[in-house]
Amino acid sequence: MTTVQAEGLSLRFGRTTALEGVSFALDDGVTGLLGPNGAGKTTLLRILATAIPADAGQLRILGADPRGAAGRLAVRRRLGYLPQNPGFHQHFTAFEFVDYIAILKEIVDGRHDEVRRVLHAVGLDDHRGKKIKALSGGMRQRVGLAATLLDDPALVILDEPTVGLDPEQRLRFRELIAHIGEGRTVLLSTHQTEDVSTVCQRVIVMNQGRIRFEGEPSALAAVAMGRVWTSRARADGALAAWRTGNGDYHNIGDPPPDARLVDPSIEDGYLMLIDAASLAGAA
Amino acid sequence: MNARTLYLLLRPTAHAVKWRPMVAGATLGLAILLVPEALTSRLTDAHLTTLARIAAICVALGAAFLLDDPATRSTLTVPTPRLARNLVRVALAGPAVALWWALTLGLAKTTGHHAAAAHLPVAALTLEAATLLATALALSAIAQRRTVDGNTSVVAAPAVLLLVAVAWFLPHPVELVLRPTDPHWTASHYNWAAALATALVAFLWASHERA
Amino acid sequence: MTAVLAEAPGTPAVDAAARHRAVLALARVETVRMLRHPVTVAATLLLAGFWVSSWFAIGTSRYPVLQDLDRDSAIGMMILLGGAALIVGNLAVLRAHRDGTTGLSQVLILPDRARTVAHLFAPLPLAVLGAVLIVARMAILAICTPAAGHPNPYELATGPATVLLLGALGVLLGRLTRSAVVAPLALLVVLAGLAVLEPLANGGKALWLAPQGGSVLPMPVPVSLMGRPAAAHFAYLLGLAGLLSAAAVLRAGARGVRVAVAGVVALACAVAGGTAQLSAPGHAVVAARTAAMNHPSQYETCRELGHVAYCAFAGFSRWIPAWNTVVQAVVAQVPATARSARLTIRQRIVFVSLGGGKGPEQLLAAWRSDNAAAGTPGAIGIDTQWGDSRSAADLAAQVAYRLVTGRAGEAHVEQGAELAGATACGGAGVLVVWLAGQAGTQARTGLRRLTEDGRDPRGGVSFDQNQLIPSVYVPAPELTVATQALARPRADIAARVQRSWATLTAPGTTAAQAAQILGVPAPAAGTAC
Repeated sequence: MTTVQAEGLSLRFGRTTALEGVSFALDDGVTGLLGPNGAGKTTLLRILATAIPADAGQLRILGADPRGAAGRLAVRRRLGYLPQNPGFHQHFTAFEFVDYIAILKEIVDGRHDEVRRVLHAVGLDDHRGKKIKALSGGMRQRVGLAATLLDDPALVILDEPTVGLDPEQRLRFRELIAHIGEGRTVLLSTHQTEDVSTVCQRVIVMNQGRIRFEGEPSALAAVAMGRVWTSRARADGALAAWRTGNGDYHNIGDPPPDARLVDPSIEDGYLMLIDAASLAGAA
Repeated sequence: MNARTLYLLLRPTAHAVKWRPMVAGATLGLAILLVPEALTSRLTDAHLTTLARIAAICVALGAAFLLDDPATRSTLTVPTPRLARNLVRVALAGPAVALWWALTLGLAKTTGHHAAAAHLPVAALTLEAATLLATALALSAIAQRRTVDGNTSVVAAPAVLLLVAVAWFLPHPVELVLRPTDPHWTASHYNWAAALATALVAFLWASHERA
Repeated sequence: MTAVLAEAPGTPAVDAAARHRAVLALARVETVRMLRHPVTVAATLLLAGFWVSSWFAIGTSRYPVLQDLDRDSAIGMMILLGGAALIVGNLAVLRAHRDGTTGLSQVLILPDRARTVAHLFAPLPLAVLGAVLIVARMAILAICTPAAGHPNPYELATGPATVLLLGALGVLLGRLTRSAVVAPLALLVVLAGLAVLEPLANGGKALWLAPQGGSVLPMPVPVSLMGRPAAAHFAYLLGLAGLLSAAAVLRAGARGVRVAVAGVVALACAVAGGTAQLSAPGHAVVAARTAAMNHPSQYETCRELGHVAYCAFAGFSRWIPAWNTVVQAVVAQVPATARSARLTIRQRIVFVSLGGGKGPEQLLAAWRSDNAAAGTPGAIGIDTQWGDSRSAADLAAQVAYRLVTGRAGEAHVEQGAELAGATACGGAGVLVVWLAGQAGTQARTGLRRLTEDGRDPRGGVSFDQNQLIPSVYVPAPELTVATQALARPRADIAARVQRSWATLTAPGTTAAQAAQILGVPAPAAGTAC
């Protein structure tokens, strides 16, 4: 069954258009949400998490309409939302904090067992008695994720959870997310194309409040097919070019006739999309 | 949301609330009323009324920190509504403030040079103190709607002082701050009662999440 | 290499100049943030609004005494603008902590102490704004009203100085504690001090150590008798502001000669100003006050308008036309035969600290001999406050009493050492109140307020020459008859008064007889005159 069905979602803040005619559907599995800063990702996630309503459009989440109070409550009971920079009560222990959220999620029976379960799921068994202010950034992010996973939500929304984590922490976090995505719907907003390529079954690319791409990660890479090449010197006319570790330049754009074409990555496809979109926007 | 959830929330909420501003305000308020009273017998009931009002403002300032919640982003979309979370905080602080107020006025009446304190208009001052407290909570709840990081006090505390300053200068017939001997004293307390009702409605309205 | 070596000695100088510029740039940013902060804007509007509304709400503000109003304005400024500087300055210092940028700001090139200096500069423009506002208020009042006297510039400067003082306090508190509740609570302590330091200090000199300065005299007095150490107090406040600033910079980690010098200068300023303001007013001022109280005629200039001489202290003569309006309105209701008396209206002041013990009687005797010496027996006393309805009623009633009885009302000491005015019995009492009611709307309002809210414990009303010395007392039955007469058509009563002036003013005429003459119901109880 489709977990989220959105049709023509729009939202304006004063004169700024945050979202315009956004339509998509989400099913089980991990969906990545890519886009530059200010693309409207966080706004979209906040709408899906019932924190704010959209100005226009149709939205059904888990079979309910979040515009009414009853529908919103129904969604919230089956939702896990990890916002960007979740705040913590620094003087709570990890257990106390997750337990506090558990009460707010109205988990009454077996609450402590549930708290222990989610803390175990995120690998915080050994740290649940530590105060949050004594935890590292990665650990805190896990506390947030544990609170998100309480009561086994059907829809999990994660807003840039891998920001600020070191490579090892990020790797572990990805494993966790992949695990969470088994049998439920996860929407993962991120700047990291690696996150998408490693854990996402689908990907949505947003720019300037609109959806630019929706499909499988391999299809996103395919957007740049035939438009990525390497050269010994920086190529004129490339949309983007950078020097790689072996000294060659990696170029994206319209290749010259004699170019040495290479297989595009998801990042190449993403950059093609964003650049094309901003060029179109500028024109 | 049910009563059991609210009951369960009491303990962690008590742990989460920033009590220090409230305690600081209560301590200072107590001192502001009792120290001058102990030092001199020259204070009239007008002086003591002013001091009791300032004491009440001290606690109202502390109450402006009651809804501060650094974890507000984490609790944005929980099923327990904000109104319930706010009411739990008020339920924790309310009795403590009431006890403090009774203690402060009681001590003012029984210690020091209490000739003037015997004439303290306790009921009227209690109405004023309740209004100040409710106003601080209403301003915090309004600030809750406007801030994203849960730091409501940075808006609410200065706003409490500003509103008090405005109230202090209100002219007839909407005056609020009068001497007990003023002929409009009783009438002004109808204004206080109206302000209390307004503040309570504003608190409930602002605590309610938008549909 | 040589180039680097050659440059090295110059580098610190360049750094210092760059740092100064950076501090100034930062101070500009903080200044603009402070001026634009909603609390500052609201406090400024509130202060201006309060000043404007007092024009409409408080009668005496239309006849302001500028040497009193300067202090009032400065205290209003301390509460509102000073409060804003305290709160906003404190919030600005705590901003880094609140927004979680402490980690960032700790590694900035501009050190903490430099940023503290910038914060300390921020209230300066607000103080300048306050100075502009307070000077504008004085100028407008001096130009647009018949204002008495002139303000003391140091007293005016106290307002902006308290803005600096409280601004520095806000920065220091932000440096001492991260709690945002402390600064507002500190403001409340200042307010509590305003409310009760005066009774606590019992009129003592110690009150000058508080930011608001010492207590005021019981009534406005001429500029030369003020004797307030306003200049010393101003220096004291600036010294305190400097000390708090130095403490804030020290707390932020500054060590060095300049901070030490600034601290020492501020300390010297505070101590010098603090001790100077605590020394008692000079003998010259005390002697001058006593002389002006006991022998007002020697310090006044008189002006004749019609049959009336108005004698006012220096600076107060702009009120004479307003007095004259009231006096002439009363005189106009009196038959021509009774108008011949020459009237003198004389301003008098009382320093309560000088009038204790047997003071009142001695003072009244001194005034009698002063009148005799000046050739103005039976002069009518008037206050150094004007513009409210009470003052108009007091003057009108005293003039009426003088015209009706041929004597000026004079206080005497009753049993229990209470001062009481001359009792106006029977027809005379009725006439006094009715005539006072003819002296214009202000006097009429004052009469109504006295009758409704301001009755004497004996049941009648007392008309005073100033807040401390009563002059004429009209008992309840006379007051009742007069109030009823005032409610009747004016022309009818005026005609009866003209016709029966001699009977009404005769000593034996009772209130009941007067009621009959004026055609109003007789009072229930006979008078005990």
